[in-house]
Amino acid sequence: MSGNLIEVRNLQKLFPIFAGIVQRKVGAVHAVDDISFRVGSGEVVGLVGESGCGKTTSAMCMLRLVEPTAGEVYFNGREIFKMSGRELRKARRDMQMVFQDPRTSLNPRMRAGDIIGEPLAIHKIASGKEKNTMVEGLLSSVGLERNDALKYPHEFSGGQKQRVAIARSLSSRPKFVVLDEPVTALDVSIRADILNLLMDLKKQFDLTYLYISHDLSTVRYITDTVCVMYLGKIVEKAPVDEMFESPLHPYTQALMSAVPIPDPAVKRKKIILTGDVPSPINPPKGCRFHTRCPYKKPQCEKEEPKLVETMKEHFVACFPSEAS
Amino acid sequence: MGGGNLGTSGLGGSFVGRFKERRYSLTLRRFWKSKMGVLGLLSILSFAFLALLAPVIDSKPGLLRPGERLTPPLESASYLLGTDSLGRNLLGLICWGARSAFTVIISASAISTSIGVVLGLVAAYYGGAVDSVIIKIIDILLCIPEFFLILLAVSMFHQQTLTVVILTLAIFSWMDVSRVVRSAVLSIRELPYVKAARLSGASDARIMFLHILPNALSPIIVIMALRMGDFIMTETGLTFIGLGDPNVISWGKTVNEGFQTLRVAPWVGTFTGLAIFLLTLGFNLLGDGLRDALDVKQRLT
Amino acid sequence: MRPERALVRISGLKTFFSTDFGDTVRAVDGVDLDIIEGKINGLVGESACGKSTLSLSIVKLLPSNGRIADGRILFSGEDLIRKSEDDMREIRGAQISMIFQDPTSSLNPVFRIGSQIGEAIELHRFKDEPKELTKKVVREEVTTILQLLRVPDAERVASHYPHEYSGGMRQRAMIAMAMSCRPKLLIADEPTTNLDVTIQAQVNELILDMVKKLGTTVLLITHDLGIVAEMCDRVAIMYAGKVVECADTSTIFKRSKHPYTEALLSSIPRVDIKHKRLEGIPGRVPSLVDPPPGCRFHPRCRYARAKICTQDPPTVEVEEGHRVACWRYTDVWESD
Repeated sequence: MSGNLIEVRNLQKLFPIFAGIVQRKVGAVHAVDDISFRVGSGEVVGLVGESGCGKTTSAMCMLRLVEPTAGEVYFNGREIFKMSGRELRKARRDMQMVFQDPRTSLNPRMRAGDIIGEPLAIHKIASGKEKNTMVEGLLSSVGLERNDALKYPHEFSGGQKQRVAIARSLSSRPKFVVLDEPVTALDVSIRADILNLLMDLKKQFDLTYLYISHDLSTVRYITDTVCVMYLGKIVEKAPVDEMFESPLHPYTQALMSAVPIPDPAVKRKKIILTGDVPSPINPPKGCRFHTRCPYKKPQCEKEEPKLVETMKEHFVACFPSEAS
Repeated sequence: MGGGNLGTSGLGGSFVGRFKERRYSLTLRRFWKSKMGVLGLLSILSFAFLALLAPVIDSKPGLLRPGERLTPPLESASYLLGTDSLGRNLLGLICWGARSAFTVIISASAISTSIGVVLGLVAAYYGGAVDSVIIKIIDILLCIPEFFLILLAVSMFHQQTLTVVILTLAIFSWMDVSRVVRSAVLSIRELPYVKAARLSGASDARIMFLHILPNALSPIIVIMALRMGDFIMTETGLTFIGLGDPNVISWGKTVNEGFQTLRVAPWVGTFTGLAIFLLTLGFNLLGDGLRDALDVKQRLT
Repeated sequence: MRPERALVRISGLKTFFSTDFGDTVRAVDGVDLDIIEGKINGLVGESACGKSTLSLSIVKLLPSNGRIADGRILFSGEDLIRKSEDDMREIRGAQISMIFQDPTSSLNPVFRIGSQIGEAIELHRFKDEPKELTKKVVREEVTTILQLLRVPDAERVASHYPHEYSGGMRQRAMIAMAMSCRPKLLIADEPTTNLDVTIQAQVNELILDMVKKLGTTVLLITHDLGIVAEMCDRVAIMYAGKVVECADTSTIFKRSKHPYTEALLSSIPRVDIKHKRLEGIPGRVPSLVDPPPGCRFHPRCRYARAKICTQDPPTVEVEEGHRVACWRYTDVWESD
């Protein structure tokens, strides 16, 4: 447990669905369904999956931007969901987030300097000249100039906007930053620079990251450990190189093989899954992946596999099959 | 994918500075293109001008000049629009009427917008029970014809001063603003920068007034302009019936008198009616012009 | 080897937009491009490079503030730019079809999938034998095309509405709509960008399969070089309104010559490699209103020489079928 900055235990988030004149609850969207994992101090953990798998909702719960249905999240040993309003406000200094689309994550009516300095003002960390100096320092840490503080978001390019968003996330000197698809909305040639910046900042400010993405290529570049999610569950967890070189879960294998590789010389056999992702409103019984799994057995339709440590530090939720 | 701005090359502060001006001038430019909007603005400014200059044009508007009653317009140099049945300078009456009109609509607008904005913000931001309650209140109030409500309220007062008129107008007309604000806030509320503010530890009040409200201004401005046109009609209607402050010169009263002397002095009712029409039209056109200029800008951002 | 024929030959195309500021955006500024028949032709570039504008220019579906300012687009020998709107309407859907990134906005939510696919068939297919056009025939054609796209239970799908299906299925419906009249050219503008990666793989497979069966020529527009490697036979790289390099796929990846292509290829992470450190391209995409003089890429180019690169670079054929617009492959460069 020591050295673990974040510990998520049995986190669950169900969104109720109401129908009818009386607005009865008729079902629920199983966005996140009983997931557990740890993020060690100084680690970069990747949370990977396709749309609807629950990765963003998990992050929202971890930061308590959304109240969970069940489960616990420990930040430095303290349970987040049990904190009072004031305690939470203080804890917010240590947990931050960089959002996916920089065009909507920056208030279009505020100047960059004010955006970045707001946490400093709210938490009363600094004011006046001292605040301005700190803002300038942050701007230069993310590769922007001093007079960029006076600009409005629309005056920046996409990559620069994201740098402003990153600077904002760092202004309260957090320990933990959630990166929610930080480069997905950016041009391909800029992504490398932003990812490099994130890694440099991690060293400089001693940060811990949760990197959420559906783009496996960037995940491999930046993370240390990867958790693969499917329909609200974690199906596989492993150190990054192992995850990419020998994925064990059939879904992970299909995911890996589906990612196009920018090299026509590389010929792979693609695992094409049949069917669509089932609705999270009524997830399949047993193993959620069985409806599309090429290795399905009768057992898979009835029982739900648990996340088991199959190899060292490598966890899979799957009944033994030809896949592993 | 990418946020390429098709108008900057980031080549230096001066260029970028120009771009920022251009953002606001873009709205102005678009507004200028909408000829209707500009016409509306012109109309309003003209009447505002008349209102301001009322004491100069006619320092004693209430002065009865029995000897000069019923002078048709353009007959005498000092009575450009003629006089009414009591010998009062019609032009003066119109200018002073404009004054009271502007007083009423600006104050009522300010108050009702404030009420509407706050309630709309709170309703949309907190949602749930708070929202339901506020919506129900809005719906109920909207069912009752506004004019009669105001009529009833004003007539209940013994002393019907201008303040009374303004307050009743304001209290019974914030609902439209509220709905507009609420729908704008509902969409802004979910945007990432609001979530980011919450993550920074911002209080609800800070988020509502510093983050959400400044970004919801466009529809508020438009509806304020349009509502002001409505206020003129309401105020005129009230004074036409005889409610409101009897000591204040207002167009409604003048129209009423003009109505009674229609056969002998048709210009009284006509010109006053024309004034009412033009100013109301002015606000409506301004509102439309603003909506065109601002709406498209929303799409760009 | 059978000589390759260009189904579409674009020369000197210039498409501009006028903004509310009164500026002119030079979205496509002098583009020469051959779309080779029977092949999947890739058009690659990042945001604001003009690739989507180029595709809209071909079918002449530009927004009201856009206009084709210069050039020719030869389709089977005829210049599309000269054609009237009526002529274009005959061509669209029947000979040239287009699919877009977002199937949600291309499919009308109030019409059933089958009727939307059938619409194009009704408009184009039976012009010469109108008596043949019965509801039954149209329905059969719709089912056929859906089955070609491996849609299970095609008849049932056709009778439902778009919102009842997921993104992958809707994209297939859109492809069906586009292919229902067996067009000669299919323009696909980022068709799988918004889809999940496993669905993307499915749909790309389908496109490849269908193209092989029907022999359609495809112009595939994308920013994803992985998709290019998997699907395209030839690639053209666009930057800031110009085509900077074009060649067949393996050549581009193995022997690219343009500095932008080089930089682009070395900036993207791959799943199959453990990268040490990638380099992005410094600077930003230039303004299309006020582009840099000469080579558009030179302000960000590591090889740039101010004296030379501020002139428009010529297009050089460095090897057969491989063209680059860069001064480095001209004599002028050597002698400097």
